[in-house]
Amino acid sequence: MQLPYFDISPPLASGLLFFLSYVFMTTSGLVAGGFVYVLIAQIRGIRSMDPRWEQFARTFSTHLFRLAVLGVGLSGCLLWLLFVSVHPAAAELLRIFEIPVYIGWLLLLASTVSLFIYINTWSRWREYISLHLLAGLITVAGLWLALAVPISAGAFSLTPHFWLNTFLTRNAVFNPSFAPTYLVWSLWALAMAGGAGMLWAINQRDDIWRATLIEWLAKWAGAASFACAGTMMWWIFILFFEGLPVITLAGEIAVVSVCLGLVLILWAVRRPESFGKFPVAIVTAALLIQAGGIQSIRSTSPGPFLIQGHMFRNGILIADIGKLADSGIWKPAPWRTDNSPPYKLALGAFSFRAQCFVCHSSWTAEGGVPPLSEIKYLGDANQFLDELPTLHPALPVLAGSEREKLALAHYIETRLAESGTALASRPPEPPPAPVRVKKPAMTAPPPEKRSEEEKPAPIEAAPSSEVEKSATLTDAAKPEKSEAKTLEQDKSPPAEAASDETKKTPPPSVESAQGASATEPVKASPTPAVGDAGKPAETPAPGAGKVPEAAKPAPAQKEDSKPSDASPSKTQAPPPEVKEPNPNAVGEKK
Amino acid sequence: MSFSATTLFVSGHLATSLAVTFFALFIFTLVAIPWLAAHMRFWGNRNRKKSYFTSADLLVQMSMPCLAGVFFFGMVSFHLVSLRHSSALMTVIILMAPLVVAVPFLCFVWGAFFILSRKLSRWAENDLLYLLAVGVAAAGALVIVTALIAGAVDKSLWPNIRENAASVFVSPSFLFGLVAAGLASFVVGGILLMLIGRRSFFWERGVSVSEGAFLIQMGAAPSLFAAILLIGWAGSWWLAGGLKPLRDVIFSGDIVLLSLSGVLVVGVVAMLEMLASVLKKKGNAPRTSFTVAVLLFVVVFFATSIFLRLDLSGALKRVQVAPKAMTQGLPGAR
Repeated sequence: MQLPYFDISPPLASGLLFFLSYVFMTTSGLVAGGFVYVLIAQIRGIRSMDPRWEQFARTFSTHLFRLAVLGVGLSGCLLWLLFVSVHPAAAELLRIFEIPVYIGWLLLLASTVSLFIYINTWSRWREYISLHLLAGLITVAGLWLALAVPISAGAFSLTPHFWLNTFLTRNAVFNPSFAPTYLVWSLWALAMAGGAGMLWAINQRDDIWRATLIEWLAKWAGAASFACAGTMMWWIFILFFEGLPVITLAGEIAVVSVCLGLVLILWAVRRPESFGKFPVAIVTAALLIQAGGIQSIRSTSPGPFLIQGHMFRNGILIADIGKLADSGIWKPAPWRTDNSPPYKLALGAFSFRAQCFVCHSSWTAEGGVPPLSEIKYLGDANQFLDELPTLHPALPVLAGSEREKLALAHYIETRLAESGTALASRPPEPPPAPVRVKKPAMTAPPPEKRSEEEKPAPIEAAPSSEVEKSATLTDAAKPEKSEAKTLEQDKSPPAEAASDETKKTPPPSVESAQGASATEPVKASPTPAVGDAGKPAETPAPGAGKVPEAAKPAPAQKEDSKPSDASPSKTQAPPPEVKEPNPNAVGEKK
Repeated sequence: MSFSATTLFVSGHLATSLAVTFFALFIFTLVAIPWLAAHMRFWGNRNRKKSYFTSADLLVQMSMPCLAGVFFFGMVSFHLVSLRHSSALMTVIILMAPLVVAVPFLCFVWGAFFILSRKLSRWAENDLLYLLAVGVAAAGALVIVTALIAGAVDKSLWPNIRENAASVFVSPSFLFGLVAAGLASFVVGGILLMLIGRRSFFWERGVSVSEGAFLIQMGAAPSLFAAILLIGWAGSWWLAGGLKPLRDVIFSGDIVLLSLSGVLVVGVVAMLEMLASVLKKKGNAPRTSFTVAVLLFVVVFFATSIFLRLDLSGALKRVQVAPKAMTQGLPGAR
């Protein structure tokens, strides 16, 4: 069954996803790193007999518990909901990571329960301090191990590597960039929690206690920052050899880490009493910026893939391309009122939504399609879709059936026309240049009996400046293909004239609509595509994508949706070749 | 199906039922806690009863673990159900995305206001007001979750939901679910109060035993009343619909489903009997409270299992019926 599309613009969706991932990463890092400090503080309190360490651990752990529930819980839920709504194909990641995710849930459950026990038994388990510490240890271990699963999934989408050959879960989990990503995140989390601890510490009234805390926290945070810079190098190395160009950004993050480490070690550790609110705020801001950089490396996968080599950005799996070529992308679904395949333009809109919208969302707005250098003439869109691997490497494969491809080409041309880019008919090719044929000793055979090799090579389309001249050429000079369709040419009006006619005249009869198939893209353009622009999410909603009565040649469009029409012999005959060249259009282009 | 696959299937089904059961119980608790705490504080102020305040404080203390449970089991349930009923759940999640996103926000508001209403908070003077706000947020979350379940179960609503996500709120399946969820929250709240009253019977708590017994009775009355109403509501609804769920269970031919239904009926009767015995002041009140809580878990677990399995067995049946075209060309086929 086909899932509906979530109606949100991709830039907004990716911005929200980035923001939520950032919040989730920051809060979970604070919680995981913070509990390490809590445990160390508790142990220091036991050893030194100073009650302030325990007080620090108690207060910090209560705040961390609230942060875990409210911050991590909220951002995690929102992130997951938005992610599966925008990318329903994310279920693929769940399928790949099914067993690790189960283990992750169990670890998180154990961690949450022991965390609850830990923060509620400070007084009750005073006699059983080792038991209390054990609860804390389980909390920390569970949290760190559970958070390895989403980090591994994120790293996997960048570097699936051996998994593409073996499809083994262990290869997916322990992908090449997992270890450096996890280390970078862990060390950043320790530094971040140290920074948060310093924020708490600078508000302490006791000067000696404040300096002690800052010195202790800065030592750990500084060491973590240096180590983070080191592992960042490893990460860059792995990603570079996986073909992901992130050197500049990762290098900048490493530099920030080193600077941060230097500030903390040289200033906060050596002279903690002078490390006031302003430097702490600077340190925290640098840590937050660092988190943004790490997150953008993790989330910005370059190239056409969401999972490298496996799933495209539009959620289509490479493995499904062949299957989709037979079945088509469009499938019936219970959430649609009409389960029959939509007519040509709506099918094109659907195909655009399924494959192109993720990067070209602005095209669905009114006048949103920019002039395209590759599509100048009617029929170029179809050719462009045929040559995607060379002309559009960002999405080298187009999924779906032949009929959907034709519908998509039709939709793109219609949207272009609506956006003010008038597509001219392809100019007739100029007469073949005289080919010098070596005169053999014997008499040459008559021209109709020449072999194919001896025929003159087709000459490429003339530049637009010459179109007007070539348009005046006689029919005899036109290629054979256009000669064969002169009957239809005579009947069909020029493209723009037809569009004007459509607005004024009543709907054409079935026969005329079929006969004037060349004008179809322009005829349908003013009405349904506006509806599609307003609601591009999937196949047009009842009313939204329907052609208004005034311009709706309903039987003809039904004809379009018939499978027989999908045969290239009929539908592939592009409208431009059928029409007279439109000198006006070329003139406007000039 | 190989042994390991069967094991995985059964354990997966069991895990899904368990996760959904916990999620249901936690979300009912989410609704019950603020209203119950507000009730106890209000009447504690009026009657000057210490035990009322103690129980209200205990309820407030339980708020954060309860919220953690809602988040955790909500996500686990979503994950497990999406693996087994992917198309239904994902479709309704996408169609109702703007509404569903409100649930975590409402939970956040719930937790934040609870923190503010605590005695240690500097805003604790307006505790009753905060508790009421928390109650409204919880009710909102329950309404949206019920709408989500109604939308996932009733596929005929999808075209309307696609046009307008709010249309689910006027559907009969949502109405049924909402009344059932509200009554279930009453049942859970009452049993929660019984468990709090049970604490008084332990000597180390230092709370009056008579006050604990009073709390147990106070909890049992609304629980029994709401449970009877819930049974009546479900029975009359299904009767009006030609007892379709009952017929589905009986005619499914699935022995597991029939066994689950039998245990469910026994569990419900036992729970009602226990609650009635508490009100009649018979037996050991604290032990009965604990037994009722266990029975509540059993009843919810079996109800969830039946609910999930009914859909599953229907799907299996559809798979097992081979299309005619597949059998026509085979040797020996009729």
